[in-house]
Amino acid sequence: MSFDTRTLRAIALLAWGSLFAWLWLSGESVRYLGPRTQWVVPVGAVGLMLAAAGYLRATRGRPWPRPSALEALGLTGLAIPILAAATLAHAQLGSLAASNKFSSRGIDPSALARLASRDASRIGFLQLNAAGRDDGLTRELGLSAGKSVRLTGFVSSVPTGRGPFELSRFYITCCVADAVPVGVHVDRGTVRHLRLGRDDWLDVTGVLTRGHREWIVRAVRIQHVDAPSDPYLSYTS
Amino acid sequence: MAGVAISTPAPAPVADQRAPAPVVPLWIVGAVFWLAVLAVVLARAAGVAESETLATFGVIFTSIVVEALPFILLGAVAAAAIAVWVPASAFVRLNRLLAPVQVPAAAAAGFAMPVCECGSVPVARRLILRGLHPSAGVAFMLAAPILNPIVLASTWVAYGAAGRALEMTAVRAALGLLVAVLAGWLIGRRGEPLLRARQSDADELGHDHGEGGSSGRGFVEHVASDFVFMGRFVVLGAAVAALLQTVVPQEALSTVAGAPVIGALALMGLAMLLSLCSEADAFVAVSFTAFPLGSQLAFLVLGPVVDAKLAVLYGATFRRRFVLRVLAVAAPVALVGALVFDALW
Repeated sequence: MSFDTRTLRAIALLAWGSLFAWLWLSGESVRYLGPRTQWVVPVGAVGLMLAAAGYLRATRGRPWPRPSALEALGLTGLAIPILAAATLAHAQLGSLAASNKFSSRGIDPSALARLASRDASRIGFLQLNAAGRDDGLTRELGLSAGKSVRLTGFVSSVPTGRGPFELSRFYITCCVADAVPVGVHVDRGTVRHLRLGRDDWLDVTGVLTRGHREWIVRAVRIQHVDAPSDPYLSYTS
Repeated sequence: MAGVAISTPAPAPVADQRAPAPVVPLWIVGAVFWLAVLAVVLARAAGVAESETLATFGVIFTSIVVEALPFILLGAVAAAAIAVWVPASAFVRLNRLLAPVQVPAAAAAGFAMPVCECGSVPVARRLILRGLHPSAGVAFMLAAPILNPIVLASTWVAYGAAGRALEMTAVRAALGLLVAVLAGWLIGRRGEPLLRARQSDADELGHDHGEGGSSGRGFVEHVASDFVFMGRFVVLGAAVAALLQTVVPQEALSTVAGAPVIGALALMGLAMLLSLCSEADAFVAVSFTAFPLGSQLAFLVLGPVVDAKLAVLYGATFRRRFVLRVLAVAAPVALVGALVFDALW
């Protein structure tokens, strides 16, 4: 087999088609894309495989030059995200991204919460966070002091003392580039001697207490858990 | 703007042809491959994924590329179909339209192109190569990411809960159309070549798809060529966007949220930094409730036409300073639009 521009282009198409196929079949695509854009994964897998096969078939028997330095550099560049995906398998956004991105500390996500409150049967990070500053939403969601809640999220900030720590989840729409971190403060309550670190995943059961323009969860039980296979939430979940 | 004159363009507005580039020895390609495999193995063994900074950068970088490449593929397919199956005479007929009609008509065609900004670039490039006036090509390229039905629907849904769906969607579409038409008129009005030369263009001109090959063969070649070409620049743009998202804290912007002009400028800067897909940006913009709606609108108008990822893509597709010229048109329109919106609503 000659090693020319045609072959390298076909390898690039096949490599990307394979990555999309792997993301599709393994379900790992949820680490990169939101529900709105999951459809691009099968489109990428099938489309790129077909393009590679069609390209090889259409261009066979014709002499092609060796790749130029620029072409080789470009094709190498195309491989970098594949290498990144292979290296960072199971990685996810965490406390660093939460501290860099706009978060519930800097904005009032009540508009987003109203999107979520169409399905008010489940109380999540978004609803709790927004309802703290919105009495109407609090009534709509039926929140009150003493109400039991259960949240699973990662620790996005830990105070130096024994004050409440912040438990967060990212909400995404299309991809993790548009992720918005939403956090809820958790008072350790009766759970003492708990060693916490940033990015630890916790399953917290507790009751709501009213803070200053926020709902705080006073923990009854805190358990370290593994990160879920789909670490992100969407506004419709 | 009806008085703006648009001169007749050259049939194929491509810059000067380049000399053949030097070839790369095969052993270098092989060595790069095995070094890459070794790097992945060593990086995993060293626990690179445990590094917050690297993991954040890597996940955002990969995610932008994974989302964008299928749109690049769809754009390449549309562009290839235009190259192979739309006769050149169709573009000649389009070019006979009056100039004040041609550019708005091309921008309005963005309604029918359900792809985001990554997909519209190869399509516009191919349209210009086939003889569409550069003004019209630029107008189409800038309009499609804002005017397409998916983007308008997502804007409607995002702002529906806040009761501002109609205003935000309509004004976003209107400002997007205005940016596209103005940029088209101002950037390409002299009909000068806008596109950078590509070796593959010369290769394609050398291949006769009508005699020696079939139209199907030409179609597949165009798809592969455009995908590989555009893809590498999406990768570079995604790396820039991911780096900015990883190292630049966005919380600092919240301190200027209350100031209308500074707030709008801050969100416009953020839009360029984040490089969000236009199909999702409304859901992010609506969360910036500390900022006036006008500032959010500026975010929604500027982001789809100029951002870090697109700057690289434009740089690879168009000649020097194109991105600055787009920015010079789009930024004032977005800013003034934001201020007027806040004054009226």
